[in-house]
Amino acid sequence: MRVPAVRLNPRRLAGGVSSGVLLLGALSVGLAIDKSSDDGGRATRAFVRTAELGQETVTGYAKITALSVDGGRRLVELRTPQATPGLWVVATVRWESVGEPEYPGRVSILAPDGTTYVHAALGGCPGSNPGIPVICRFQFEVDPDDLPGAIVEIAATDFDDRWTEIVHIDPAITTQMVQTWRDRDELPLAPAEPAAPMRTLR
Amino acid sequence: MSAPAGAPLGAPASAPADAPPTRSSDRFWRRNRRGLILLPVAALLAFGAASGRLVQVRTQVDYSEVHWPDPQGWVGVTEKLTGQEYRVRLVTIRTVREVFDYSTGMRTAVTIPERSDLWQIVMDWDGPSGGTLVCRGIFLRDSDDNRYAGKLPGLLDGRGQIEPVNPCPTGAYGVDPDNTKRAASTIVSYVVTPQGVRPDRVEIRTTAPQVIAVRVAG
Repeated sequence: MRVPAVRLNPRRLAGGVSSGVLLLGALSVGLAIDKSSDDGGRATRAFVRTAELGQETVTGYAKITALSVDGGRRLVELRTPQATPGLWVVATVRWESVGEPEYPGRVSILAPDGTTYVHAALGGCPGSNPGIPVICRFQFEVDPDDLPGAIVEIAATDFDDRWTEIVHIDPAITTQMVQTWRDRDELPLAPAEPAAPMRTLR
Repeated sequence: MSAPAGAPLGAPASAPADAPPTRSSDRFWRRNRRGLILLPVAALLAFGAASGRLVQVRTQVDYSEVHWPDPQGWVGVTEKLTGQEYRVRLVTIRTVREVFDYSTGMRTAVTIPERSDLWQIVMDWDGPSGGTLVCRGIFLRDSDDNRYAGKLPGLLDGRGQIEPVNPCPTGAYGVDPDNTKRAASTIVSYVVTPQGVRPDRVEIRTTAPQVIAVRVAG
C-alpha cells in the first residue's frame, strides 16, 4: 500500500498563516479594548466573595461586614410581636457605601438544599453616604430545618447577578444554635442606625 | 464531486470550457463562503455570551447631561417635558451646626455621626411662574469624585425632616424671571459627609437624564 506523499501547497500555507495572524490581531484588539475600558476599580464584576462573621468585605459598591446572626420564635419590632410556625432570624450587617450613596438591593438566606429566603431590603437599610457606615438589620422567616449550614447572601442589585459582586457570609449556624433560638421567646429587631457614635452639634 | 488536492475549498473540480472567465472577487466570495456565512453566526454567539457584560457597560454609562454655570454663576436648564426654562445659582455652601426643620419651621440642633460634617447648601432659583421642575435629589460631589446624597432617612436623629420634600422650587415658588431674589426661590438643603471632604460641585438631578451641576468656587 502506497502512502500518498504530503505536499505543502505554498498558497494554502500562506493562507493559514495569515488567518492565524488575523485571529491573533483580533484577539489583541479585543484585549486592548477590554484594558482601555477599565474604570479605575469602580466597576463591579460578577463574582462571589466569601466571608465570615466580623470579616469586612470590600466590594465595588460597599464595605460589608456581617456582625451577627440571631434567631427566636417571635420577632419584636415596634412593640408588636410577630409569631411564626418556623423561626425568625435577624442578620445584623455593617454597611459603608463606596463612591456613591448605595444600599443593599437584596439580602437572602441560602439553605444548604438551595432554598432561598429573601428579605425585602428596601425598607431594611436606608444605605449610607460614602464614608459614613450604618448598621442595618434584616429579618427572615425561615424553616428551622434549613438553618444549619445556611449562609447569608448580600447583593447590590435584586435584578441581575451577572454584573454585580455578591457577598456570601457563613455565620456557621449549627443545630445547637437553632435549638437555642427555638427556646428563645422574643427576638428584638431594632431599626437601622449609624455605626459611629452620634454627636449633637451645638 | 470532489475538489482536486490543493484546490481552494468550494472550488469546482473543473471549469467548463465555455464558462465565462471568473473574476478574482467572484473567486474570493466562492472560496470563503463558508466562513462568511459563519461570521455573523459567530458574532451573534459572541455577543450572546457577553450579554451580561453588555448590560454592565450600559448600566455604568452615565447618560446625564451636565450643565455648567455661566460667568454670573447661573446654571440654566430646560425642562424637557414642558420646555420651561429654569436657572439655579449656588449662594453658599458651608458646614453648619443647626438646621432649618421643615416640619416645625424652626432652627434646631442636629445629631450626626462622629467624624462627619453637616453641609448647608443654599441656592437661588429662577423659573417661570407656576412652573414645576421635578427634582430627584441634591447631591454633593467631592474632589475625589465621591457622591453624597442630601436625603438619607435614618441617618439623622429623627428630630424632624431637615430636607425639603422637593429640593427644587414647585409652582408655589415660581417667580418672575426678572425677579431672582425673592426669598421663596431660595432653597436650603443639607448633606452629611465624612470630615475632611472638599466639595467640588453640587448636583441637582432633575428629569432624567439631566443633571444641573454647579461648581463650588475655590
